[in-house]
Amino acid sequence: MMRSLLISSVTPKILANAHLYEADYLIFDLDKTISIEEKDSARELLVQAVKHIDYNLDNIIININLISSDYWKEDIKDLFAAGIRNFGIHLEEEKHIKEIDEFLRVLENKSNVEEGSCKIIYSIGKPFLIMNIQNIVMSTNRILALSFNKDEFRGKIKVERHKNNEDLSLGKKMLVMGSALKDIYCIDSPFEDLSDEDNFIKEIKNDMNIGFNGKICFHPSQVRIINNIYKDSYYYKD
Amino acid sequence: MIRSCGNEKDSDALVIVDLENKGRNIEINSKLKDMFGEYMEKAIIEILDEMEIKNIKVILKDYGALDFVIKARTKVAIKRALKGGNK
Amino acid sequence: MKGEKLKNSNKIPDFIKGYGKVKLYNENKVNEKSQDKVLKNIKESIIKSNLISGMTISFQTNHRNNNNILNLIIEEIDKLGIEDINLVVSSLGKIHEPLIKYIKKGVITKISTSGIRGEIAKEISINSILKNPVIFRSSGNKVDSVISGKLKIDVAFLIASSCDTMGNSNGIEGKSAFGSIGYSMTDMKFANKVIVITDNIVTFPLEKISISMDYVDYIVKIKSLTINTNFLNSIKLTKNPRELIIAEKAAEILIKLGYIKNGYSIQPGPGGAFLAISKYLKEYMKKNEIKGSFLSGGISAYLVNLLEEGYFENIFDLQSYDVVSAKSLLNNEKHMEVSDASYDRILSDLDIAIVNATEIDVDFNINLLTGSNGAIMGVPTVAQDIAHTSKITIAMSPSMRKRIPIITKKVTNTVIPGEDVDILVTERGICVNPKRKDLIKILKKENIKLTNIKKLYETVTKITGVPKKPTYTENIVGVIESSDGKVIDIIKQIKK
Repeated sequence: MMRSLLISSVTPKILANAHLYEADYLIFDLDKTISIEEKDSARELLVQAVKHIDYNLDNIIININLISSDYWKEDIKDLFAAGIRNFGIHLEEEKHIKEIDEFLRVLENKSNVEEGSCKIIYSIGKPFLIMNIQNIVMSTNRILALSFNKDEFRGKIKVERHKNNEDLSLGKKMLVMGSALKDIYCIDSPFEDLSDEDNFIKEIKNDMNIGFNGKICFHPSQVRIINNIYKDSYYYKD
Repeated sequence: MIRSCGNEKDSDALVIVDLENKGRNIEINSKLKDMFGEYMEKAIIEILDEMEIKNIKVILKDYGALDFVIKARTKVAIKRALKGGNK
Repeated sequence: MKGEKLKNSNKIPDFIKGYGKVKLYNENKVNEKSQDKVLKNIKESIIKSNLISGMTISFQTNHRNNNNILNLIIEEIDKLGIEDINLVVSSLGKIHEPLIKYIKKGVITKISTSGIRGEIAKEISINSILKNPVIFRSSGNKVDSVISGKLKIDVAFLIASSCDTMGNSNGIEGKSAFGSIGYSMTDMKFANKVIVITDNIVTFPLEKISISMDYVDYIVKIKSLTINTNFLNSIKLTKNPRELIIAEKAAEILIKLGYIKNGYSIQPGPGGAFLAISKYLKEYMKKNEIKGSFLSGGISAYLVNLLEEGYFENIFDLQSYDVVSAKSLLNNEKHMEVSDASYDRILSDLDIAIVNATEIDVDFNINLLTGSNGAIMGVPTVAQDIAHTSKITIAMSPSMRKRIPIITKKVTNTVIPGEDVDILVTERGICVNPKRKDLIKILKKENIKLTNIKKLYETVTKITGVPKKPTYTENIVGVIESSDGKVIDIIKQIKK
C-alpha cells in the first residue's frame, strides 16, 4: 500500500523518529530542503541513519538531487551502499530516464544485486512531460510511482489558483491514466495548510475519486487521516 | 587543515577536525559525557579506522546527539578537511 | 475574707473539695477583647505561633511554582535565630533556589516532600547539603503519616486567595485565585498552629468556605501571592507528534480492553502527553455516547472542558493547574474540591491511572524521582498512590529522551513498584506486565502488537547506547517511601 508518504527533513531529531508515525512510506529529501553547502553532510547523515536506525528499508524513498546537478550520482551511490533501493526523482527531461536506468543497472551489476531492484518515484509537473506520460511509462520498468508535482504544473499553466483546484484537474487525470498503463501507484503532492483539516480531507477524497492511490504529507498528524480515508478506497479494498 | 561539520543544536553535534596533528587526539565536550562518553569516543574511532586516519585532532561538541549523528558529522568534517581549499 | 469583694455573695473559701483552688470573679476587671487573628507580617505570625528550633513546619506549593512565599517564611525564621527546622512541603522547585543557603546554614535540617526539582535537588544529590536524608512521600502516604501522628506538624502555613478576618478561607476567589486548596486540609486539621497567608482579606463572613475559621490561628496579608502571571495561561494539549502517537496508542488500548464504558473514572494528569489521551478518549466517547463518572487529580482547562461538555459527571480536584480550573471550581457544582485525605479514599474507586516514567526497567519498576545520572529531579506527587489503587495503570513515555533510554535493566531508583504497573506505552512498542495475563489475552485477540519489554530495551539501547551508571558515596541523601509508608528505596549522594 502507498496511501501515505511522510516527507521528512534530514535532521537528527526527525531521523530518529520519522518511521514511527505509521506512514506507508517515508520520504527523505536531499534536494529542495538542503542548501548547497550542506549537501555532503545531509547525505552522510542519512547514510548513517539508514545504517543504525530501526527502519524498514523497503518503505523508504530518498529524494535525490536533480539529474542536472552534481550531486545525484553520489546520492544514489552512497545510499544504495547503505541498503536503499527506492529513489525519488524530480523529472526535468524525458532523456534523463535512460541515463538513470543505465546508472542504476551498472550499480546493481557491480554489487551483485538483481537488476531492476532499484525503483523510482518520478515527481512530474511539467505539462510537456505529462502529455508524454505514455512514452515515459513505457520506456522504463523501474517506476514504482508517479507523483504529481502541483507547484511545477501550476507554475507552467500560469493561472491563478482555483479554490477547488479545478486548474489541476486535467494534469492529475492524465497522470492517473499514465500510471494505469503499468499498474504504477499515482500519488499527489502535499496539502500545505495544517490547520484546514476540512479542505485537506476534501482534497484527499477528490484525489481518490479520480484514481489517485496516495498522498504525500509533511506532518505526522496528517498520516492517520490519509490512511483512514484511503482504507475505504476501491483500489485497496482487498 | 581545520574543518567542521554539524550544528550546536539540540540532538545534534558539531565536530571540528584538524589533520595537522601527531597521532590521534579526541576531545569530548558534552553534558552527557559521564553517561555516554565511551560510546561517543568509540563512534569517532570507528570512523577514523574506516577512513584510515592516523593523525588527527577531533573536537566533539555534543548536544545529546545519537551515535549515528556523531559518526556522520565526523566523517564529513574529515572529508571536507581532506578536500581542502577555501572555507 | 476574699468573698467580701462581691456584694451579694456567700462566703467563698479559697479551696473547695472536689473543685480545687478558687479564683474569684472580679467586677473591676479590664474588658479583654478576644485576640485579633490578623497580624502585621509573617515575622509576627512566626513569633506568635511559638515556633522554636527543632520544630516542624508545613507548606504547600501551588500557582505552578510562581509564588515565593516559602522563601519569605524561611527568611524570617532565620532572622529570628530559629534553626533545625523539619520542612514538610508538597514539592520544591526552581523558585525555591534561595533556600539553598538556609539549608547549608542549618536553618532547615529535615525535609519531607513528594519531589524536588532544580538547583536544590542538584545540591542535595551532589553536595549533600541537607543534614538528614530527604524523606520522599506520596501525597497519600503523607496524609496517613500526619493522621497517625508519625509526622507531627507544629506550624502549618496555608495559602489562600481570599480570607476573612476570622480565618475562613478559599483558593477560588480573589485576584490570585488558584483553585483547590484540598492538599492543605490534613495539615490544617492536625497542625498545632495554622497560619493563613493571603493577599486578599475580606469582611467576615466569607461565604464560600474551604478552610474553616475553626482551624485558623493567625492570618497574614501580603501584597501579592504570585510574582508573575504564568498561572493564568491554560495548560494546552501537546502538539508534539511523538507525544500524540503515544497518547493515541494508549487510548486505543484502553478502548480495546473495555475500560472506556459508562461510569468509568480516570486520572490522566495535568498536561502534556497525558492530557492528550483525553482527546482520543473523547472522540471515542462521543461516537459511542459514553459518560464517565469522574476525573481526578491535577486539573487543567481541557479536563474542565470535558466536564462542561457532559463527558463526565464530576471532577474531584486535589490541585488546580490553571485559572480556567480555578474558575470552574468556583462556578460549577460538579467540579468539587476534595481534601487530600478524602482524595485518598476516592482513589479506591479509580479505574484508570496514567503515570509518567523517567525510567522503567524490565520488571516494570518505575523511577520518577531521579535521573539516569542519579540526581534528584522529579515530583511524583500522587503517582504511587494512583498506581497502587487503580484497576489499571498505564505508563506513557517516549522510548528515549535526547539520547537517554527510558528503559533500563534496573531503574536507578524505584518509586512505583513493578507490580503496580500494568502497561508501558512508548512510540516504539507496547509492553504488558507478564503478571497481567488477562490483559495480554484480550489485546492479542484484538490484534494489538505487543513487544516484550526486554526486546524493546535491546532495540532502544542499540540506538542510544547503554548509559554508564552513576557512582555514589556511602552517604544516603534520600529515603523513598512507598504509598503505604514503608521504605522502597534509598538515594545516595553522587560521587563527583
